[in-house]
Amino acid sequence: MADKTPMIEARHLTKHFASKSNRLGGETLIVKAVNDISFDIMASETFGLVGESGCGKSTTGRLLIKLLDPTSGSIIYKGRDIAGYSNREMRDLRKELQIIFQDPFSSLNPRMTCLDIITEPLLVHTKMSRAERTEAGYELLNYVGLPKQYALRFPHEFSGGQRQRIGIARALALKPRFIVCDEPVSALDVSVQSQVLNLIVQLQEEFDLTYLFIAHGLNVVKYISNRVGVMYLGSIVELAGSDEIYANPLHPYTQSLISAIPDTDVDNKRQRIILQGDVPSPSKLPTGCPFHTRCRECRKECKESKPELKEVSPGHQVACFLY
Amino acid sequence: MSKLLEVNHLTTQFKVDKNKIIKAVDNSSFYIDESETLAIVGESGSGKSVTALSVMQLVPNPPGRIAGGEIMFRGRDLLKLSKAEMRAVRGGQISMIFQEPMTSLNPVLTIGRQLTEAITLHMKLSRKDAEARAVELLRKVQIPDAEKRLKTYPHQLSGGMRQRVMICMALSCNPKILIADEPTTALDVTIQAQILDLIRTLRDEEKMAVMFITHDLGVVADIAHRAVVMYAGSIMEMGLKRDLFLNPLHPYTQGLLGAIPRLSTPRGQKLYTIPGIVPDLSQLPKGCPFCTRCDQCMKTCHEQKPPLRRLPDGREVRCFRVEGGEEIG
Repeated sequence: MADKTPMIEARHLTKHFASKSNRLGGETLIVKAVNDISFDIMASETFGLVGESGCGKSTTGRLLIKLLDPTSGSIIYKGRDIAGYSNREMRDLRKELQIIFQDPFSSLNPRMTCLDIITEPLLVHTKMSRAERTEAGYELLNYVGLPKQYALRFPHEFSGGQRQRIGIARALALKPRFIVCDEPVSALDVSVQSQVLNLIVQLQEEFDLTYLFIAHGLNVVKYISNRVGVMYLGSIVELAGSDEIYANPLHPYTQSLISAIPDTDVDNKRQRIILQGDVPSPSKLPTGCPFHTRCRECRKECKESKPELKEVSPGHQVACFLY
Repeated sequence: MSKLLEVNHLTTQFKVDKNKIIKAVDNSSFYIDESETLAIVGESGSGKSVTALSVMQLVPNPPGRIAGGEIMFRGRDLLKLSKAEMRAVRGGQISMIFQEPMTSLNPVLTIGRQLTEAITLHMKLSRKDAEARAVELLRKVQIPDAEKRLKTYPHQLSGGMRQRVMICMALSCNPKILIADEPTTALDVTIQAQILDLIRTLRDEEKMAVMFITHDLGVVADIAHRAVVMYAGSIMEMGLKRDLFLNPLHPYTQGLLGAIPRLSTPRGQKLYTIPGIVPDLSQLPKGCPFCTRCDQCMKTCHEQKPPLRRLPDGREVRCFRVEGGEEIG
């Protein structure tokens, strides 16, 4: 189970992207993808991040392992702030920080064999001989439940679930400590999703991995995570243990999100909270609380200032003026 | 309740290669009652979308072809209608919405132009009256500033708004049946909840039947009265929603329900898995299409395809393990 030392900490992490409003110049739009978020991920835990498209959850995942450079804020890994590290300084750390992507179709090179794909990290980062790499590759295939004879096949010969296993094997190649799972099952068929989820859980126990698990389906996140952070428009609005956040959601956004998840418990008569309107554009953030434009509980102060994330009960943080 | 639409022994084939024909829908029979929501559930390749396209006769031909069966709608077999007669039904009495609202709207025409097209065609209204009707419909699907929206283009709307426009277009001629093919799959959960709520309200207000195609059993639990579970082109099970979820009879339905983490599933508890992958339609096993992945498979399952049986309570199941009732094909 998760112990209490943080594996990786985000402090006031912010990422803004500049985009031109049209090709002919004009004003530059700043897309505020992630705005001043802070959280810790403990060693050996699974930290779930949920939210709708455009809420900044994938950007957050990429920032943590420095696939993107933060605009400001710091990322503490092993006691060091890696936010300002150059690519060269990151190189050694890359072995420990890995990612599994959402789309198993576009994240594998179609011209490489399965074995080449999963052993490429070893080629880049280690001095292993070809024979040693091949040996390691077979071992990896075994870990993710792919038969040895598939090693020389190309990605197009695999189904979606099998490709996701290749992606997982590649992420495991360098014996990482922390893996960002960016919607790893969203693109898969229902009957295959559970195979991959079971694999992810099993590998965590076997290799003592720490996960950041990003998804938009709260039932999957609830199932797999120890703690869950809910994001809305680049901010974390609530953070709590996964049982706690479902049993006792505090933020009006979390409440509506949980009520909107289609669940297969037909007798579970939950009250649905249907949100009005759409998510505002992250390039035109509302003033005050980012959620106030859709919130049922909106008051005057919500429009004027942004509520801070604060702890309301042990381990349960929420950013809302109601608490 | 009387049967509004009755599909009997529908088979739709696709020619994938010179000498290779696959049956995307294989001898399927089901019906829809007036004002009810029938969900058709299945994974990719199960034939659920092709079933919908067959009802609309929108299966691309070639390579597709409706090879047999009948589709009875208000006493007429839609498969025997002429092209012109079918055009009057399609978009009029039966209309359809699709998964990706961006690709199914024309990006270079205004919303108003696209909305009024079906209205002028089917209801023979003047442009002005058609526009008035369009505004009324946009209000019905809860789009703010309806008049202004007529002059906007699809790219100016969000995904949820575009799906509302699609629904609005489908409703424009007071259809008896709305076929919704994964209408919320591309949308976020909170927007999905809005659209499902809208479809439910409109179904009750307009007294139309809905054929809802989805891969998401959660959505089925939310919106359907009854559901058909399809696998590799065949109907595996049909029943009232509650029966199906609380007492699934077919091993495939049982597997699907067990594989989804529910909000009540404890963290880390091993999920049930259906082994293997959805089979390629061109390489289906000889017997039951599910036999290669089934954990209750018997010898006969490999040898012949089990018939669909209708049990005394109206449930339909295609499995040798379930006995009683009558064979219906």
